[in-house]
Amino acid sequence: MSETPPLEKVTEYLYKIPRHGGMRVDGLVYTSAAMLHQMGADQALQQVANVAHLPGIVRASLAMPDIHWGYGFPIGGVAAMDADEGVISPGGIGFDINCGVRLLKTDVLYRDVREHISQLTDALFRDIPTGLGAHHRHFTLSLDDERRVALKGAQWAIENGYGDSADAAHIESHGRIPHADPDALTPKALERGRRQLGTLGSGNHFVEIGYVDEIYDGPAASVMGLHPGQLTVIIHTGSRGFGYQTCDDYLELMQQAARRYGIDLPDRQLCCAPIDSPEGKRYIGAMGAAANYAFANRQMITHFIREAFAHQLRMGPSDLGIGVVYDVAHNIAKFEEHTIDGQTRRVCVHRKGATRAFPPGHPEIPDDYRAIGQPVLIPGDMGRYSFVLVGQPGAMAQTFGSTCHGAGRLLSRKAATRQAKGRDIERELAGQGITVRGASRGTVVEEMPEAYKDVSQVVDVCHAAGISKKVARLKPVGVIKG
Amino acid sequence: MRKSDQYYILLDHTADIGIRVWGATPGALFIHAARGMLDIMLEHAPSAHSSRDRAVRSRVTITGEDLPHLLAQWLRHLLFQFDAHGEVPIHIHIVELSSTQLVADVISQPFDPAIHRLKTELKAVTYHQLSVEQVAPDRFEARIIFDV
Repeated sequence: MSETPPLEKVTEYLYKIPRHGGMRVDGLVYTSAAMLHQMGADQALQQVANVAHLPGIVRASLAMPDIHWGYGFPIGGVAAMDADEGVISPGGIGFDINCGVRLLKTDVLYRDVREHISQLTDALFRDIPTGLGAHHRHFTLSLDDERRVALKGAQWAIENGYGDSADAAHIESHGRIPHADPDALTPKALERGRRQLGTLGSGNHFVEIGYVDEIYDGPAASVMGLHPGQLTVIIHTGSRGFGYQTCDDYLELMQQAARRYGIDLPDRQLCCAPIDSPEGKRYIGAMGAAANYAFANRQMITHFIREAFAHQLRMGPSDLGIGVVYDVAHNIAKFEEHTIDGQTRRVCVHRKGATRAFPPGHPEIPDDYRAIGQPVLIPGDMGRYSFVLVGQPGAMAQTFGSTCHGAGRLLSRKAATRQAKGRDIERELAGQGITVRGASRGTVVEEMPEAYKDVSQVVDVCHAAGISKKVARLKPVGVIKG
Repeated sequence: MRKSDQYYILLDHTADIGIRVWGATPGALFIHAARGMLDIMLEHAPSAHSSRDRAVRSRVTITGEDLPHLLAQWLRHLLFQFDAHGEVPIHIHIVELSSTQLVADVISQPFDPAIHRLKTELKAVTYHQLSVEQVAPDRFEARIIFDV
């Protein structure tokens, strides 16, 4: 099936793909008319319909407003599978397992360090390893340590001197997925991940210095420790080659498993196995391990940022006050309890390019945030803005506690390169007061602001639909890319 | 690159990157696909004429269910060797190629920031729209999309 499926408008912000053909449930797409129009020939909507074919899918195949085409599942896709009868599908998590976002706050005001931003960005570029080929130190994990990272996640990093124990409370799942199973990791994933811990990676990964530009919800911002003009740092990265290889190796295994279990798929890239099967359990264990690698990764990068800031601004840690506001995963599957038709059921929620957004009162939210809801961090492109939101009751009611994750691309990399011909993107951004440092030639061009949709449109749909609420807007001033 | 040297074109794809690649024989196709992938990743794709300092030769055996799967597995192997071990292939000789098995001698040199510059980091080789076809007696074409 490759034509666009039929769409019915439900509200201003919700469209339905009615169940038809092999679909077990409806598709529900959170978007606006304007964004639907932008979707064009993208086959993402067909992918939403394809996901609805999967055994054990509960209530609907969902899509967030930043939806675009992905591998099997669309990016911006959310699908909850019955924990007993449903399937687990690596394509519903993505290659970059636990790609996610961390927001750091500081006790520094942007206006007080404005003339240092360029040097600060250079310092981050120098001190944060980006990956292969960059000139940084990197270190090689022993296999034993790698397995410990896979088991303990951010807590491994903290125990080894990268950050404070206070950081863990403000990380989703405390930075450690409990069912992670290092024994489920493939030898190639372990091999590929040995030299990549503590590296940023390239593509759409970044570290971004910014400041709080606008507050929408004063009380919630205050609880998070955010105030106008405050210097902030966003980290966007994931599990690096460790995660990519885990997904890759398990996709091969799942192709065979799907055949073996007689699972009929409209797209082979939706390959899966029953959650309650040896293959399913192994992938879940390996996915947890890769998620932990990513939590450890963002924790280590936090440490490098603290060091670089302290050195560059000549300020001690207590004056700098760099703390973790929150850290979210946006490529992951989590076992959660949700109310479906009045009954509490345990489901496996696949979020691929979607963020958990638990509402006020949810027990999994850190104590200090419980009254306001779980912070949600939505990065935009490097030229415009990013947003902080909080989860809302509407998310639990409608989207299995999920919301969007970012802007979504507008232009292909080829089109971006064409559009940037003859231009100096770094200089253009410098002219707007944004310092950009990129390790690979192609990446800054491919990641330029106009290659992306306007994230505020995405965030506004989520806000209007009642699944998450705007708290603050951040503006970029210094960006490093791999 | 001169038009007569061209062996692939980039495919437009919103989030990822793809290539359509061709060769006069299946062996040439597999070599060109490797070079195309490398060209996406590195600023200057090294050729057989580049220095063989610190070069390492290895014989690689890849198996697959059919020719498209075999091509994906081949590229997957090279991407893994590059990302895990910094190995940059500079010369490939196809020893044997059937629809389910490839044996190749690969000469690689270690990634060196003085020679190589990263262009685009690839996460994985995908199955999306993966195809290998013989379109003429002396022309084999393939399409592969990579996850970026």
